[in-house]
Amino acid sequence: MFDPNTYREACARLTPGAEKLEEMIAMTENTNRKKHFSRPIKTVLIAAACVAALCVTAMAAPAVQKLFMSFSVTFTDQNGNIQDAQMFICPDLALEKRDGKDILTVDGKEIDVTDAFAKDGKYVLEEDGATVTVTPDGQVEVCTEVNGDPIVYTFSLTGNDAFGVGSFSVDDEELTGGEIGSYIVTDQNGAMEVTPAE
Amino acid sequence: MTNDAFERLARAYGDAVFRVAFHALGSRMDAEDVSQTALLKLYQTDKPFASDDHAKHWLLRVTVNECRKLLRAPWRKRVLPLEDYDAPTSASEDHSDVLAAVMALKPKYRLCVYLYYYEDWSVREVARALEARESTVQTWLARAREKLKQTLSGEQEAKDYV
Repeated sequence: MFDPNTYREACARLTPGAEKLEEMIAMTENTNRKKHFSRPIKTVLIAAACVAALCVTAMAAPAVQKLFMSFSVTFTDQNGNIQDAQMFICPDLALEKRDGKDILTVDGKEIDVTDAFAKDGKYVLEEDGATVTVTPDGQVEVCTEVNGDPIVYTFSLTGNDAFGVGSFSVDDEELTGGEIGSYIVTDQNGAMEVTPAE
Repeated sequence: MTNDAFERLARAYGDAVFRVAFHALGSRMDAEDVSQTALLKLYQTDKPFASDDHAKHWLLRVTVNECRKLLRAPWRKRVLPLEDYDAPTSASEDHSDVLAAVMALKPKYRLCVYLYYYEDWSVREVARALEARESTVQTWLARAREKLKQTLSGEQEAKDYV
């Protein structure tokens, strides 16, 4: 006969082992940490002297406190020219269809936006003082403020936007955000990568 | 989720996660893989839990879903299902006859048995986790009990004969 008590006693001995569990915990924390720093984040770099708006990916860094940040920068381009620019950092965004649902991934977190798309034709996310609107065709509009002035960035999650070129040193003394140090911006196979300066 | 909160929940319910995965998959290695995946989802979630019990329920349901994904994987369908084996699958010699008999059941039956008898979930809670009707879960439990009765009675008879 099936004795539930005997079964429970047997199950209680069924464990991965304390050492294995600690290993899983450590691996989870390390995996997520590495993922956070190695996944590039998108930046939109709008230079006052440049015509094109560049939508690029950049490295997340410990100094970045928010998901969405916009700030003014002064940087030196590859020709040695000092330029003023507006830099916008946003997390890695992706939109996909899965099992008949629209899934928006924001910095690794998945959000089911199916109902929002069906009802409003868009999904709106409020984060860090920025209003992010995503439409079913993958167009993104980010409304934020820099020094009290409203500013709007638009880019596509599905298109192949232009990427930055060259290497730039970002001078932190010019940053309005005050939260990011010196960075090097480099072109990595068509993607602009922003890494902390050594 | 903070590291401290994650570690506390992982240590509290990591064994339960493993047990669910083992019951669903019948393999220690697969159970460890799925346990790792479930813990990662716990670490990455920003879902506010009303209580530790709520967190545990959420975590075990995530584990069940991950097991179901693995069971649906195309490569896994080329592996002979456990129910086609006559001998029960056992991960170690510590398993009692009862546990071995449970592990010889079909995955959905043994998962029902575990959640109902060990985790003390109601039929409704089991049905939600397995995305089945309550009546279906009751049928599965009844069939599992019948099969276990046959298996364990047969083993007892064999012992008595010897």
